Amino acid sequence: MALLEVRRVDVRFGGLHVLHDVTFACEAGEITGLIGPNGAGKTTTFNVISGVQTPTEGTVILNGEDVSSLKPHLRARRGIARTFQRLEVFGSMTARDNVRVAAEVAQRRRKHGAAKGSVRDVVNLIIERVGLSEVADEQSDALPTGHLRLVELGRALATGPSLLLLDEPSSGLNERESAAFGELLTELADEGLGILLVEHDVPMVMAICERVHVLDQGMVIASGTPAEVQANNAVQEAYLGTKGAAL
Amino acid sequence: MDVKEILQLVVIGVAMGSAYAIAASGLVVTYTTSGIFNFAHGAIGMLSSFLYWQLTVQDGWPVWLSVIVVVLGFGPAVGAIIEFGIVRGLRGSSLATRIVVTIALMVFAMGLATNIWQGQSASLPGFFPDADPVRFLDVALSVHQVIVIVCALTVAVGLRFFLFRTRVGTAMRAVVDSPATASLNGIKPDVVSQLSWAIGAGLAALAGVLIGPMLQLEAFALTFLVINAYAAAVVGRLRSLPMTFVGAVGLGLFINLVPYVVEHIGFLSSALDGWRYQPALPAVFLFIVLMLIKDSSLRGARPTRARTMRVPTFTESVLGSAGVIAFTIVVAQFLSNDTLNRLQLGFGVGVVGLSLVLLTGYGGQVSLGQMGFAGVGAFAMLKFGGASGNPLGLLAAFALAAPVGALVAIPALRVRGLYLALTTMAFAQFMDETVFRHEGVFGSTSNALGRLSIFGVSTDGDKAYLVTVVTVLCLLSIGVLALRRSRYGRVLTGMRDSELASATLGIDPRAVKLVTFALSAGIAGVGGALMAMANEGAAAEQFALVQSLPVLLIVVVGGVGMVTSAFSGGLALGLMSIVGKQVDISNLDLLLTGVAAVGLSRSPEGWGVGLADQVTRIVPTSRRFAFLPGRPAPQPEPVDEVTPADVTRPSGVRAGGLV
Ligand SMILES: Nc1ncnc2c1ncn2[C@@H]1O[C@H](COP(=O)(O)OP(=O)(O)OP(=O)(O)O)[C@@H](O)[C@H]1O
Ligand SMILES: [Mg+2]
Repeated sequence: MALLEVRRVDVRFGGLHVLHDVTFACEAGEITGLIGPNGAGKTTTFNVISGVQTPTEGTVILNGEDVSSLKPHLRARRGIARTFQRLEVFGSMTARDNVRVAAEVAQRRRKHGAAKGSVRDVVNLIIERVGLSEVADEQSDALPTGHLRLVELGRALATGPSLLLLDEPSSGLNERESAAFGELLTELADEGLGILLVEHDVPMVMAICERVHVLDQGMVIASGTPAEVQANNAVQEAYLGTKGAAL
Repeated sequence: MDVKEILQLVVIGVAMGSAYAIAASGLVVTYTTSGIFNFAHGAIGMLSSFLYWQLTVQDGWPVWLSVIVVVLGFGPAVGAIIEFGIVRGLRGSSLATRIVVTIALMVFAMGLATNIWQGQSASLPGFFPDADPVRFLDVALSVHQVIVIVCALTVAVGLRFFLFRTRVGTAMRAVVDSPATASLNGIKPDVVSQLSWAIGAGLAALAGVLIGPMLQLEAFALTFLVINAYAAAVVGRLRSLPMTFVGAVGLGLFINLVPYVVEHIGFLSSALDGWRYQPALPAVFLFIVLMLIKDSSLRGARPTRARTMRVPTFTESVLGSAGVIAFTIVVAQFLSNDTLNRLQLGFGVGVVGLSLVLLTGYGGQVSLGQMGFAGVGAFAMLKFGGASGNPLGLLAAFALAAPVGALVAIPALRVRGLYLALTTMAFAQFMDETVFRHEGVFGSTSNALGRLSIFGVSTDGDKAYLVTVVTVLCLLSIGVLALRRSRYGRVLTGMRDSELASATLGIDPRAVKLVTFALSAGIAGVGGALMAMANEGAAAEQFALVQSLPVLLIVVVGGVGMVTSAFSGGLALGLMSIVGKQVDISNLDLLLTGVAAVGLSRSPEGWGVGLADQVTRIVPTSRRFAFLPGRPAPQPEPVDEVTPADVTRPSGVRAGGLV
């Protein structure tokens, strides 16, 4: 059973048909890429999966459970976490508190009776892992975009998700940071996390993803391993047609 | 059933609705073009009514000249001045500030009118009072009513023509969506905004001249007619003029027909016997309309000018409180009983203000109805504390007001922002007009309410009671600060920063808001109990809607995110009342609060924050002044606006194009 199944999702904004019959799946322990030109509908797909956007039609299935009718917070409690392309950091808090809120909410929900110190440990661990140790106690409003993306990643991880949706997480990072970031994602997947990655940095996607789905004008035009997708004519066309940039 | 009687009511309803329509369309025009909801709209109408009365009845000016001076001169001038002097300073400020500033104007206008036209509760003659009534469908209409209906139709057609057929009007519609487009037309957005305020205020003035004769000339009542205008405008979602007209006429019919229906349905009339429900009908209508609005989307983060205040630690809050209490004990020795009493009341209201620090400052929800909850608290105190001053009465005040808060929040939280503020205002008006004035609630004569008696120690004396009120305020502040530092406080801050992100972390936004609303209502309830005990008796007037408004004002002026604003606000109210008595200016508190809050357009986060900034700048060792917030954080980086929005933004609340 797949970790996440998106089945026949349609989204219309008035007359604008943004997603057509979108169907794909993600597996636990894998990084799945979702790529496509600007305006293809990637963020909208994320919104549908996380419950922020109600689709006109279609279902979202997490671990075999139909979560389509659940509100965002209930989906989060079932293990879906996400970041935002247009950042939604808690700007008035420090980076650490951003992560802490998520960890506290998650801990309380699990009611493991875990010791009080454990939230702090979780937060410290995450801060260190995503590489925010140096700026953790600065108010996040003051941090550059690249760091804010890491704050969002850390915050999402702190909820203890089984599925992580990342919307353009590496924009704003420099080359070295991007590489470290790719490594971190691979590690997380190795630990069993399912990751759905939307990313404009196509070489990075090709390097770290097990499977890739390509969206164009709201339709899945190709799915497969990175090699298969790269060789696909429709994909070449979609990218060449809209952006003039080869894969 | 009497068809003729119903027809008569319908016709009156339509005439009243027409007057509301004129007022409401003015409200819509200003709101859509400037994004500021003008709570003072009714107050402009009220001032216009009085001015018109002054000119015609008192000074004997001809009617036509007075109409021109008031409707084409006074109204538009006031609108333009407000726009230039105040509205422009408010761009990018928080919702609470934007709401409070026009409320300040409203409060100021009420203070002004009661001073200039003190005690004059005259009636204003309509147009052509001696003319024979017009007969229509077997129903008699006064010429004045006919004129009102004709004016409404003229305004409807005129606005339509102006907005869709003239260059300026088109620019006015465009400026809402994109100031840049409007500039392209060669018309400056500032000019458009100013013009829209002039038109809006002119329409308010016209409505005032038309409505004045249909009602008693009374400052507060006329000002709160604005609720009728809101109700109508909300039907049009604050942007559709045709729907606003429909709403206005619907409201006119509602107000006139409901009493008829109630009267003719046996069980209804017996159920409502003794309740003054009629004055609350506009509020009920507004509430119903707001409940029909569906706005379930989650609010995302947006850059504001808000800054983060350092939250004092537990030790700091305890030490600070001890200092405040000690200071109060010393100062109280030198004050007269009257002064003490005024301060008790001030700090009692300060406690109600503290409820807004939690709700608005920390939670980002604006309520204009806190006195409604305070009254519930006073009621509980009366029933449980009674003459003996049992301190458990304070607990009862909290315990009763909190669930009432939750009960109000359940429907109210379906909407947000401005709509939430309007809903709470409707609630407060309902409590004010209908519940608190019911005989069984506070009783018709003054009721015996003893001051607290704690472990046998009575706080009956004015000094002791002032210290008690301040102590309760301190304890509650320590509690509120503790909440702020807790996990719940972080969740609340997160929600204020981005509801959207909070939800995706597994936080149920509605549950958090509900709890916050209930807690806040509970605190307001305690404040109400304290206020009532200061007067040694609870009375409806203490918890009137008009008393709710200064509460938000004082905390926003003091900095709504800081508990200190509850103290400074309480003190300010107390002092204003003391000074007001000395100089014998009626409603000086209204005048001063108005002036103070208008200053907000210069310092939109409140004077308290500005002051704190100054002090931290001068005294960098902020540990010694630990109750002060730290230095302001740097401004947020502009969000990358090039990428498309992640999420559908709520379309209901945002000012869309004027239609
Ligand atoms: N709330 C909305 N209302 C109307 N149209 C929308 C809305 N949100 C997105 N769209 C449109 O839907 C289409 C898909 O948008 P989406 O943001 O999902 O694309 P994307 O693949 O994430 O693009 P990008 O790479 O630029 O982030 C775009 O044409 C966009 O303009
Ligand atoms: Mg996107």
